[in-house]
Amino acid sequence: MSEKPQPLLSPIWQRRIKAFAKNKRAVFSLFLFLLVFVLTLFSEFLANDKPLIVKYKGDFYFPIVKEYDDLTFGGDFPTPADYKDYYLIDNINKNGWMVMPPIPFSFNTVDYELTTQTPAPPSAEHWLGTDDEGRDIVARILYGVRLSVVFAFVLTTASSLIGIVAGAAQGYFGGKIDIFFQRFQEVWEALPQLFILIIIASIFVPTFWTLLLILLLFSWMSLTSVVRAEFLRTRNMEFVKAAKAMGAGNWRIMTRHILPNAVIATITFVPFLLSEAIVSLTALDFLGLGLPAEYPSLGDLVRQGKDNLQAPWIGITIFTVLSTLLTLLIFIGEGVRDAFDARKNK
Amino acid sequence: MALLEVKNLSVFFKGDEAGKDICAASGVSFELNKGEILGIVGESGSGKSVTALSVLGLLPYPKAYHSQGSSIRLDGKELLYSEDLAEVRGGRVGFVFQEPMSSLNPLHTIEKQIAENLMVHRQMTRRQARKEVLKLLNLTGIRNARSRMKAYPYELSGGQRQRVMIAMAIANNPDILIADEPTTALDVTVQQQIIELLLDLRRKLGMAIIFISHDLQVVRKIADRVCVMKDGRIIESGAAEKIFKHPEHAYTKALIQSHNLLKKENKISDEKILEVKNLKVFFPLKKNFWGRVMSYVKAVNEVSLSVHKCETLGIVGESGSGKSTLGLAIVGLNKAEGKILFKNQDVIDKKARKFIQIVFQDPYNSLNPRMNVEEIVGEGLEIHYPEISGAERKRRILKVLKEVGLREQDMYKYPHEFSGGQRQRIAIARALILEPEFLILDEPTSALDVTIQAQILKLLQEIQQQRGLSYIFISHDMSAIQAMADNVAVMKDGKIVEMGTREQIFKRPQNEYTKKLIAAC
Repeated sequence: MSEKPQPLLSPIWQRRIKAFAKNKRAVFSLFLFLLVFVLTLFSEFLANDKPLIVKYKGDFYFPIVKEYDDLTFGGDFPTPADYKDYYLIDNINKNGWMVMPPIPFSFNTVDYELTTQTPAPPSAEHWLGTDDEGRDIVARILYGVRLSVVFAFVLTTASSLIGIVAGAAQGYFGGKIDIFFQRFQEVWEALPQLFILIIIASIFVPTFWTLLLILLLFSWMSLTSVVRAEFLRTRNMEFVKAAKAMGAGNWRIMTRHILPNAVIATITFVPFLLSEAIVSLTALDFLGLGLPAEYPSLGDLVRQGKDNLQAPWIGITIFTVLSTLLTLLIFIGEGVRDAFDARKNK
Repeated sequence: MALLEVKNLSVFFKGDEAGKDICAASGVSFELNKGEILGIVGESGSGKSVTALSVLGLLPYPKAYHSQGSSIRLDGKELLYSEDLAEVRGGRVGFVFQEPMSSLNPLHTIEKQIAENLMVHRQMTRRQARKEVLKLLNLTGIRNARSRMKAYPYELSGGQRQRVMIAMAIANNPDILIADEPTTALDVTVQQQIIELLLDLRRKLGMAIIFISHDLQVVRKIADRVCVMKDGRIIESGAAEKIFKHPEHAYTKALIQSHNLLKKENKISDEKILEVKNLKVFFPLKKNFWGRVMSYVKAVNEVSLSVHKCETLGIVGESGSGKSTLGLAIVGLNKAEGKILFKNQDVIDKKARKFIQIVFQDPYNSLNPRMNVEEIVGEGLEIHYPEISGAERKRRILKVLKEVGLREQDMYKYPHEFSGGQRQRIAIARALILEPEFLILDEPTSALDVTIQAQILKLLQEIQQQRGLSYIFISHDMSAIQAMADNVAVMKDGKIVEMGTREQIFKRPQNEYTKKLIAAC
């Protein structure tokens, strides 16, 4: 029996990937975005106030991975080692060596040795200057981009999941479920999102996860209407009837027959949802309702740029970073949308 | 000199960057004389519509182009790539499209749509145009024309819409009327009326008509001369009588043959396999505030029938007669009142679904585009026999694919890679894999070309003989029913108006409606 292996991807997907690859701008954007994102994933190794590796009295130490106290390197106190301390640096250099990351500051390291007023302008030490608390801007942006993108990914994934489930239920079952759900959603949409955030932020200090949860309360609705429409349309197709006649249950029909058809509409939306999530996090941080000060946030830098117009390097830098990030996502989104557009693909 | 002369017409469509250009018609030549009806017959993709559209320059230029030497002359004047086609379109040449619903603008009254044509071409005032529209509607046989003028397309039936389309096409007394499958979307009895209307109009107005259809029966009734097209070429042409009585080309013979299907005699046993008693399917039309249903559409109203083992029961009726609803109710896809007994057992049970399967009309809609053939055909096994191993499942899928005439390598392909006939074979394989004893065939051949129809019907007959299956064969096509059915039930407005053996129904119909149906085909 001649066995023909099943292709890994269905021809439809192969055609889509081809169509996406044809769009040079989208491919370039995707490449650049992934490069930046992967780079920021290793922020600890790029910008940190701890050395990458220390050789002290014949032993190797990795301060980024593990915390050592002052005593380890010949200090006097059992406190965490401060690698900016001259006494400690001298001591290590006498008994071995250490390698600092290319940017020897973490996002929250305050540079006490600044000779100029904060915010300090760009220099050899601080490539893009510092903010008004003397923290290095490059380091803050590296960590900030990572936080924003990860936040956006988690938020988008979670809201897509909820949105798909809600939309699928409405569209597939229709009737009363649909009507009640729709009315509920209309009321929910009308809630003043910003006020609720202000109230919540004043009651307790938001963290990464609480903020995510709050934003999720409102962002899941962006996909429901699309998925609902797709389910409404597809549930009356003959192949769904055929599956029912075969004896397939609701769950099977929804997941195997209708969902793959609805996924297209969803995937098309994802890059736009991502950029939306980044924008809303930044906006909240800018207003001071978002993540507290101990998080590296892009929104905080925007606020600083606004407050320190005499230090244009802050504003210009954060503007460039945000607009590039969002533009890349939009370009990727356009490419994905065109690749999935059946009419363009013919 | 002929009125319209088409010489050596070739039509090409540009492919995408990599692909070669597609040839849709090549070397097509024919002439059309004044007052003559020319029938162009062929299956889908044979180039008949493309030929007709070239006459009016309605192809998507510049994606489409004609080769050197192509020529279409109207009264000696070249039409191809001509600048002033606007005068010809809707002026000297009228065009009627296949789908009357989508070719009328849903937002305008029919008066406005017909009048537009008159005001553009004949510079009539609104008042003059109004009078003319009324005259045209009367001419095309629309009853109560005066009140109907203000109607919107959705308020008209399919046949009436097609009359409006014809009224639009003949508004400017064209010399030529091109009708592209004008009767295909209509019921048989309405088809007959439209054909009579066209013949009548020719008599009154002396128009020449190019009548394009895939349906030989229809063309036979109307055409003086016939061109048979295949793969973009005219393979045979001549007087209608000659083509139908003494076809020369093998393809023409096959085409005519496929209308005369041979009936295999089934050995019907006495065992009753399916019994339907007083079946009712009502759809709520209006509900009051409290959700109580105020009025119903009685889609199926008190229908009783029974099918024996190895028997084919044909159900005929026009669209809206409730025949498909009845089929869906039997497989449990519509809520129904009444009794459905399968081998003397009630079929509400989900397990019974294994033994009753259904094949749908439209093979483009009934296969999930995101599943490959193996998944589509194998799904029934997964649901009802989850314990079967992968290898065994594959073996059974292969067996059933072979039975319906598909090849092993087709297993991993997706529906869009198949033609309509092959897709219908996949749908039949899907129904057969659970080894049902009863199949409901809901217009299984209506969406297919004639020669493919014949193949599928033959396949269904063979499968029936081999497996001893019973069928309910639902169709609006009398010739398909005649080929397939042992017994026939005629449905109208949700009720069975006549039931009997094939001979009784076709030779000695009792009911008025049945007589009309049989006369129309």
